[in-house]
Amino acid sequence: MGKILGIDLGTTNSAAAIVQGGEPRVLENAEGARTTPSVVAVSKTGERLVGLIARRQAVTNPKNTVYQIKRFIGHSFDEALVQKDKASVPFEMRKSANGGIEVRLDDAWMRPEEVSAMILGKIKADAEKRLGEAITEAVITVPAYFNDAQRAATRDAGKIAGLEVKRIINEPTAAALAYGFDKKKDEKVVVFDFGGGTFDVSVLEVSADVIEVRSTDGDAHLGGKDIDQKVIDWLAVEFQKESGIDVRKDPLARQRLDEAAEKAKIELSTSMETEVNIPFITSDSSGPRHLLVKMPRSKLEELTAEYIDRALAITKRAMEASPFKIGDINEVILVGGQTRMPALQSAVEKYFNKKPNMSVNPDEVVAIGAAIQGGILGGEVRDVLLLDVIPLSLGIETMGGVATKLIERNTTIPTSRSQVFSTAADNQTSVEIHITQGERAMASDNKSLGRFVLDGIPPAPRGLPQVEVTFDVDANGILSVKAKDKATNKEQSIRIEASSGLADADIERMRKEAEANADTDKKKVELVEARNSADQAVYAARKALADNKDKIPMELATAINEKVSALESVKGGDDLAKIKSATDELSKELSKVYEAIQKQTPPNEPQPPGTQSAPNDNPEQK
Amino acid sequence: MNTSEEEFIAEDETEAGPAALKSLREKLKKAVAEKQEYLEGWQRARADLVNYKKETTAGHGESQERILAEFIEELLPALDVLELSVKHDGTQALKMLQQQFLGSLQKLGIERFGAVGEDFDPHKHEALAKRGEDHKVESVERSGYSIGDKIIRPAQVII
Repeated sequence: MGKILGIDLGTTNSAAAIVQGGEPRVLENAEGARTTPSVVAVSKTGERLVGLIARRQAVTNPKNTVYQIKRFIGHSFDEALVQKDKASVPFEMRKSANGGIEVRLDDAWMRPEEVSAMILGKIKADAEKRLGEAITEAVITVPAYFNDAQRAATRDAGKIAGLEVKRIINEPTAAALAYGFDKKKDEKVVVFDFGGGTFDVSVLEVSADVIEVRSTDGDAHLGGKDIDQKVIDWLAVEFQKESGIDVRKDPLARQRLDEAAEKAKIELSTSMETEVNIPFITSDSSGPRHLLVKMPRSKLEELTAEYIDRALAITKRAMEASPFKIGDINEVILVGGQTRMPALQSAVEKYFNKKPNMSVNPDEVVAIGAAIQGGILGGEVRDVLLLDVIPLSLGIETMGGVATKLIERNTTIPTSRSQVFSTAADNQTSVEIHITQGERAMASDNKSLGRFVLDGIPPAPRGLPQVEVTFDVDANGILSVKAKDKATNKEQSIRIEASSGLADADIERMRKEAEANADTDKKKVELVEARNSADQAVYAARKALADNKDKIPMELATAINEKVSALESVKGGDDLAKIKSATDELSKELSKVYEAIQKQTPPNEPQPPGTQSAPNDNPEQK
Repeated sequence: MNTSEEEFIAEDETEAGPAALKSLREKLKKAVAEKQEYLEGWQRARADLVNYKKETTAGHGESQERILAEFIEELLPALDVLELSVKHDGTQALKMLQQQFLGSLQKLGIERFGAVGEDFDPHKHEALAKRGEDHKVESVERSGYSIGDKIIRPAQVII
């Protein structure tokens, strides 16, 4: 079975999402945008255009560019609302044989569902291109107030576009699904949807896997566009005061003003003041004129107060029509880009006495909910497949008492990681694996989960044996640790049931401690690492001297011995800089040895063993 | 996860042969159905991962282009003002600045487009107004920019 596409078929914009790997994901269209304008056109050359491309040519071709078709789908031609909306659109409409609506697109008369099908068709094709697989099934959202005829027509639109519509769901229900509220019992949720051109508010009741719309209300002609218009007018009047020119009469200036107004509105959601800057907006006898106006957030709020009041009055009506009181409401969800406006949020918060939730992108939340519904229908979203993460990092203690992490915290489980370690001393025949949990850098500061010994490692110089340590955490959080000597295949393991048996409070405390001690821990580790490399250098120097007695000139051997003693005298101390510089000096001296040997050794002879460095990290020496 | 043999022993040991057999059959049936369900879920998860990897590998070049496009898009308003300034009272210095700027963009693979006389094409032009009937670009109000096949911003034109 293929994937089921979730589609938010909107009045102004549409969006699509799909569940992938158990998670919903919004799909970008062919133009790379996450929403597609719900606009359809037939160009002069007879090409069918949908979305952004259709919108770009709208002014050249107003009679053959159809938008806001959602206002007409499933209606009869004679309805008063239809007649009112008809007056505000430039494309031609007529009554069909059965009393329905037909719109003219080039030389064809089309039913609204056929126009919607063109939008759905583009969404389908773009999704297929993005995913590289065929899409034949979809879940499409409609407003909660849509009647049976409107729902049936939307379903038909899907069918015409080649989609089997598995379900038509309400937009507020989709929003609640996107927030995962279907899993809660007896929740009352309000969905406040302030879109580009329409406003809807719904009161939902969630009970035992059913989401029921208890009341819904709205205004089909209230949205972000109204707010844009207010900003445009204000900017134009400000400019007129100063220049005496009304730029709204000039279509080119008007275009730039529209863009600037929308940008200013968006900026004022995050900053307290914005500067609208349109150079060369027009010109008069004195030369070119520039628009430069500062707009404070308070001005925007003053301009839009009437719309916010209207939306709240409608919300109040919806609440009164529901069986609930304001105090009964558990969650308020914000939908639609315009809800990013702080004044709208605070008005909603004030009314419900509750902070509204907008943690899911308000432009995408409906499409995401539709995708989740599709995932549930297609068997992709299941409770058994909910994946957990490990709360704290898991690792082992290595040379110098450092905690080396094998699995970082927040890794999704089940998972398995392995890493190869080695010995810290010559002829070491056993290693101890000490398993620790936590974020601190030193093993002793973390929680000890258990330890075991792997012995029987054949005697070898330090750094040569390869011990593979594997951590495996299963879906229940049970940790198994295995250590294997790669030379002999000898292995030892331990199973730790309680690796996630920590209380949330403990986890939080351990994380906080790690944060608080990050600096000191880092210094400790640096010191340990410096000591380890000092050890390494001393070891290498002694080995080189012993292995190549005859080849090293006397004075060089003396110099090296001096540097070795110098390093040994400081490496037990706490002075990081001293240890590092002494190590460096020894290494420099040591490189002279290699040069000396190189000169005396034919090139194809193997390198003397003393020059080999340990290939891996070293478990603690025991 | 204790799927041990115990589960396949009939609960009531006193059950006679056929009854015990029947109850075991039911358990087996349920187990097979569950196995199928989990196997499908697992396969699906694997397939999702493989597909996602393919998609991200394929999209790698695209995403680098997109980062560049997003960056350039932020710079375009300044470039537009420069273009307008050159058009209105272009001093030599301004013209040189503009040429330098466009030259640098060209090196990054970014092209400016939009010219009078071109056939109107909504894939790269955004129409602001219509004056003539020949469907050709009459004037370019704001240049468009592209990177590779991708239109960063269409040219705003009058036709």
